[in-house]
Amino acid sequence: MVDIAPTARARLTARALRIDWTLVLFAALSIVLVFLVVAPLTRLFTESLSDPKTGALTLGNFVDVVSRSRYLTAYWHTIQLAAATVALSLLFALPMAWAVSRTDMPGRGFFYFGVVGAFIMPPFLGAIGWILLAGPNAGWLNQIWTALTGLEDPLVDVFSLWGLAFVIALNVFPLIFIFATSALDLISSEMEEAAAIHGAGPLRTTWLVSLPLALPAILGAVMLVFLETIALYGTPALIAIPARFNVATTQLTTFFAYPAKIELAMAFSVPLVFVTIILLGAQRLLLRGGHVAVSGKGGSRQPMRIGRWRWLLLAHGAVVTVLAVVLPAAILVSTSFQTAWARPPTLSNLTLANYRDILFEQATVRDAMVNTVAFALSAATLCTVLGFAVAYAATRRLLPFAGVLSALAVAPVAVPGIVLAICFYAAYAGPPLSLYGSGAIVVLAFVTRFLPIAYVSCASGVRSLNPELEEAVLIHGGSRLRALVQVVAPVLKKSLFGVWILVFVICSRELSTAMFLTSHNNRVISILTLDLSEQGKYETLAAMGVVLLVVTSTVVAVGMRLIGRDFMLRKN
Amino acid sequence: MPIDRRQFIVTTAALAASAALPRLAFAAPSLDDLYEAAKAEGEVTWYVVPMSSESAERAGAAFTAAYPGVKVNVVRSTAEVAFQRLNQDISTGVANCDVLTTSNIAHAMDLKSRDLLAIYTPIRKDEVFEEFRGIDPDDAYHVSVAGPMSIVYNTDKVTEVDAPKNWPDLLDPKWTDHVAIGHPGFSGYVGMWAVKMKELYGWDFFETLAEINPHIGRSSIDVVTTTASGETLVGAGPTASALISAAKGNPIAVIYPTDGTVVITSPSAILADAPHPNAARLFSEFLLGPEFAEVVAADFGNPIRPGVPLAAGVVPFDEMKVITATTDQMINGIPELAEEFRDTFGI
Repeated sequence: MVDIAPTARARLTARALRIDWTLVLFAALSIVLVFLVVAPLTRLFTESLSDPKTGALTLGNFVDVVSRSRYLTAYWHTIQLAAATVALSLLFALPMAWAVSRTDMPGRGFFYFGVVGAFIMPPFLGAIGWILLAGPNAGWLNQIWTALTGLEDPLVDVFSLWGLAFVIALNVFPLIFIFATSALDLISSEMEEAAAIHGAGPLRTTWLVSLPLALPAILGAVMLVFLETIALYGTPALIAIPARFNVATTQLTTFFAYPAKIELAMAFSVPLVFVTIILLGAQRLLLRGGHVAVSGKGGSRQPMRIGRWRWLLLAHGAVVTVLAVVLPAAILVSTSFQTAWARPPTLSNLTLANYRDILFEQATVRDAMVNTVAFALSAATLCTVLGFAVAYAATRRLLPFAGVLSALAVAPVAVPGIVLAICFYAAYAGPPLSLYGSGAIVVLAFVTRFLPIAYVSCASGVRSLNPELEEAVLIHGGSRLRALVQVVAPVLKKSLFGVWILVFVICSRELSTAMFLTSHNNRVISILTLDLSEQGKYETLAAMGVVLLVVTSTVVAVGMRLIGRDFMLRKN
Repeated sequence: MPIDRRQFIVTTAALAASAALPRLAFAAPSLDDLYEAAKAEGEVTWYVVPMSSESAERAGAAFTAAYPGVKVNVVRSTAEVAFQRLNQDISTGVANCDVLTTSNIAHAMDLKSRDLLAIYTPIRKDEVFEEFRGIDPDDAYHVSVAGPMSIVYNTDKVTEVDAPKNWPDLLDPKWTDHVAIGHPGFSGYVGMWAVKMKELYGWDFFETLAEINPHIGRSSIDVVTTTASGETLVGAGPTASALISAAKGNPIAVIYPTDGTVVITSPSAILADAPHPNAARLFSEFLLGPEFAEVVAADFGNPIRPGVPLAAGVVPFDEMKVITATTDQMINGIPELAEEFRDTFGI
């Protein structure tokens, strides 16, 4: 071994002197990356600092932002909303995570169904479902409440701060669930047993031992939920406007009314980006913190026996699943077959006309559905390939500045989707590229936006792979490219496919990134939903939503079949 | 949309030609000639505001039925969104839209002042009611939809006797939490309506309205849906949408207010850089013609040309008290009002 190694290395060096096409390929990829990420993101700062008329350097846009009380109120509302959403998501996710991870509660597989379902449900569809359910006067829950109690005052009002936070929380709680379960899964039971031996009951043990150990992961997830909420546009557009609760994203879109104030929009976005960067930095520090007890899978793990408590936990998880998945999906399905959504689903109110309309008559809807699937397929493929290539190049240090590459690949995560959309608009819409209105601009935007997810997942895959496999190919005269295509990719194919599906699902429902990039040729379902919702066409919307849900659930079901149910839950 | 070389040459040639010629009105020789030329183009893209997406799709289908071989791409949105998208198209140099029909006439005027509209004198120009003729002396745009906006109410929960009879009746505290309006920052109809309310009753009208916590949708059509659902009981909405909804079996009815039904005249214009100029001209003729009037009438609208039977329950223009906005109100009033509205209602 000692003798052979230098020879092998010499041969490797000799081969490296010939043109290594892999390196060329990777160099090209890094140029693509710079183009995709750096070009749009620098626009954010240059535009926010330039005078709308002269283009000269100015701080005037920022002065305009801080001197309008309505703009500042929008920030304040956003913070309130994000705090309320975090509180509700913790309430939904933590008991579920603990029950699944640490206890002998029955029906744990069912909880995954709830979590994956909540993840698949596009936020704007969940919002529409909840408008139908919890509209203060006509929502089904309130109608039933009034029928049962005779009270005119609504039981729940979706058009309020808490209503909005509730709907968002039902969509984002899976994030907290995933982080919390993965941390709790790593805690060895010995510590909990120690507490039990000293006389602590299950609750006290959890409070004193398990929770503190999982706390960094949970706090990290809390920050992600906070960030998701401040960046969300679809749900606020549907709920916050009738609720008269202006948030940062609804305020941002008003800058695009003619005459568009792009510079002001950029300046208004800068604080959102800074908040995101700070919170992401804090999250990294937390997750890196030296909590030895959760660092490995070494210790034995015994589910905690919690007796009667498990039924309570089961009920809690069931309620959350019903609220997040079953109720909205059911109301969407039933509405999609109705002539008039607020009337009881009696025979005379049932119809197939909504499906006939969207599938055969309204060309707009059909085109948008085709676009959605086509863009999601292309973006998922490109994103996976790019994410994998960058992850490989960075992890194996094939190029100088590998660290810069990986930083670039995750940089888009620091920019809220709707802000990213404005950057893409500024960078690509006009000359020289003039991509506005094309499918390419939407695909580019999706690829950039979701590159961090693809990169992080691929990087953990590559890291898990011993480099000896590739070196074997190189030693036997194979090229780096061959090693990549014939060894690395096949070994990682399950996780690559997992990434692909994940990105596909996210792209199929992405709204905020597509906001300012779509014209009539490249509209996607999410944008069309927003357009139709302003007319209150819930029956048509519901039918569209059901079709979208069928498509994405099929893809996810196939994925789970092929690569196991937890592929979507491994994102971090 | 990638621009291929041929298209580029054709476009530049056309631009050069139009620059060389003085801006003369293009008068079509005949509908048949237009149809032949339109067939070669194969499609027309219509940005449309003052109709629901269903009605607009029906109009598109009626056009293709009348002129087989020419497809209509319908892009329906609220006035502000349509104008925002069109301006995005323009500022990025992408020519998508052939014909724009908007409920905010100020948008058409603005486009005209920026030389972005094609001048076209329709053959059917004088077939419409006299009051809708010649709103633009240069023939840059023509009225193609005239939509009344009236009071709507939920018939399950409000009797005709209790229903509001005039606009200030909407401010009665008994409608607290139950009155619906649209947003002038999105909807052209709501902009016009709000300008007239401000003129008739002052800004107090909106301050009183804010006190009874209205449900604010984006489009005026949303008012009809929320009222039909019982989410709200009364509101200010487009008459035609309310009557369509009622015909579907929804519990909604219309009151033509005693102080005046606000009639919003929506102009149509051909874009100067329309990618399908002949189809656009043919479509403009269609908007003034009998086929479109029939689609409008069938969807409970008031067509702009005589001789088309109205649907049951639709009151003809000459039997209602009509109020319309002045040009100045449309151009200067609405943007200012939208800001005021955002300040009063916080959204």
